[in-house]
Amino acid sequence: MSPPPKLSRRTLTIGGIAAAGAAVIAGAAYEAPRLFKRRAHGEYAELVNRLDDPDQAAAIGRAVQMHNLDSPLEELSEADLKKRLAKRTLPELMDQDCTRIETMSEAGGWVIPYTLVELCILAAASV
Amino acid sequence: MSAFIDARNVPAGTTIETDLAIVGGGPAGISLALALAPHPIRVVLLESGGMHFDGKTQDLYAGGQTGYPYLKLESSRLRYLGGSTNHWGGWCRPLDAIDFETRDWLPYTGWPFTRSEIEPYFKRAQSLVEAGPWVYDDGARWAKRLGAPIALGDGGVYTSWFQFSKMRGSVLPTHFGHRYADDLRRIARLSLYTNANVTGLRLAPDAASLDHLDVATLSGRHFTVKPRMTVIAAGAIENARLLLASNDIAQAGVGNDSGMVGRFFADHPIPRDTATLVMFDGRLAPFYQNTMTVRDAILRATFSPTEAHQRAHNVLGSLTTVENPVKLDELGQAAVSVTASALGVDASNAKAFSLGCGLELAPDPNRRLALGAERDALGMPRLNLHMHVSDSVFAHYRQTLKELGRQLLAARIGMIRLNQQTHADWLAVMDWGNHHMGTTRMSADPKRGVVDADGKVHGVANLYVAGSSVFPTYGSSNPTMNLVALTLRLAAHLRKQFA
Repeated sequence: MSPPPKLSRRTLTIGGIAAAGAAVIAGAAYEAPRLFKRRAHGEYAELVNRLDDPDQAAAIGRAVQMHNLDSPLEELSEADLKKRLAKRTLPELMDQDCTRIETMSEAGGWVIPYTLVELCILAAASV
Repeated sequence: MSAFIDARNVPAGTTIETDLAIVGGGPAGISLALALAPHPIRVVLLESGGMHFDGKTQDLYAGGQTGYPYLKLESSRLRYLGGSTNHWGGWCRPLDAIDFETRDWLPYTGWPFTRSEIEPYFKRAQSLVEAGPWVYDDGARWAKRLGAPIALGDGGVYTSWFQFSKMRGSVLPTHFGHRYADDLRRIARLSLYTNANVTGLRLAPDAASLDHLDVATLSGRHFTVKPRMTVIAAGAIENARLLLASNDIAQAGVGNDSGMVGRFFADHPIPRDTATLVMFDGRLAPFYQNTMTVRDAILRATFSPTEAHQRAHNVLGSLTTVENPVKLDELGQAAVSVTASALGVDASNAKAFSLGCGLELAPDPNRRLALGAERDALGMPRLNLHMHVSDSVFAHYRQTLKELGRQLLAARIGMIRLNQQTHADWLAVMDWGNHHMGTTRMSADPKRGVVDADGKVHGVANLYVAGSSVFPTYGSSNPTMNLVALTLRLAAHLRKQFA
């Protein structure tokens, strides 16, 4: 049985740098879609950018506008939404909406909490 | 030991006297004959068909249709021993208590008794349909080793459970004709006539009682059965036809003084692909998509609106099934991704499934069977069915699906898409359960029903109706096991009458 090969300091350093490089590349690849996602601009940007993906949210917003199934959304108030989001986080507002069927809305048939649909409509106007 | 008698060999002009005549050898007629077997009652069971399908006999079912598209009358039932159990799917679930109640938001609803009246007969009915031990909404406990039901939490929809008539080999549930033929042969006081078509219910001149039955065969024989009592158990379409066509003494037909015979026809709409269910973590216990055998029970989980939800939102009953895995389109992927992320939930393993359902129809007097001008090979008038389905049925169901969606989101486990919206959408995916009901509805009030709480035809002393034609309100559960239980209750009543 032969002894295990000894690793030189040089080999270890090169290996370490290579591993770190691979990790950075993998991380960048993983995060790339997020890093390069379009951010919302304009007057609703602050609200819309609370969503991870304004582009996808905009697609939902456009579906709501196309079908216009829920007339209360015509009364969408950005100021009111801002006020609500100042007091609570989005997941908290989602939870609150989900306690009552009256605060559930539809987007292209998808049953979605009212607050999220409001944000999606703003996203459609922002990206 | 009795024998099956081919009516084509009965000499023309014969009169057969008996205690009880049963018209129809489907699940109701066979269950009734079996239930009365231990008692000293002579029974004649008259079955139009034989042991197997015959095209000429089946054609006796043909009829006309108007209104909402519906199945052909000759294709949605089977006319030979065992009746429509020869093509049933074996789905069993007892009616819920609310199905018997008068629902003030729904006209014409309510049975003349509560569910507790037929509960004592459920276990025996379960045995006759061979659905194994009584499990139903204890299914979650029984199927624990297979996984947990979706944790829907508080709300208007819950996981309900079906059981299934025993599958022999891989596909067949209990076909009453084949399954019970030998049991029927062993009943000494039973004479079972095959190929025996009842063509008339002949009343006594005062119209207060039934005097005799006219029987004919497709080979041209005619004879008479003179029973002390008669039960017609020929299915919800033929029961109405027999009563309406027997109009020599009572001109509107037997039991039809109030014009109720043939009205309130019902079935369960089973539209396909009604919704898309997404589970964020991709997990769904196998008993939602497929039947699973647990010890001696075959179970499948469905979603039902709670009774409280039905009352609070004035919606009809429904049973939602999970069908096949489906792929999401771009909007679907966006909806899942954005919603899950806003909830702070990982949906990277999300899976989607299409949903199906069985729906309760609201009672409707304009969904009606009436005699037509055409006649069949025996000279009997054929029926015309006017079908009507209100869009409100689908609006009610969307409300229930939306509640299911709300509960999934509240539990942060999934979401739902409502796939059908317009009248045309629903029409395009429509199918039917072949569950004929309602045409000789039960009511304590002769003005609102055809039979009383015992199943006796109002105004006719010795004529009864068995089967789902007497259901005044339908629920969303499949009718077979329920109609067998109701028939066993009728058997108990008849035993007292003969005692």
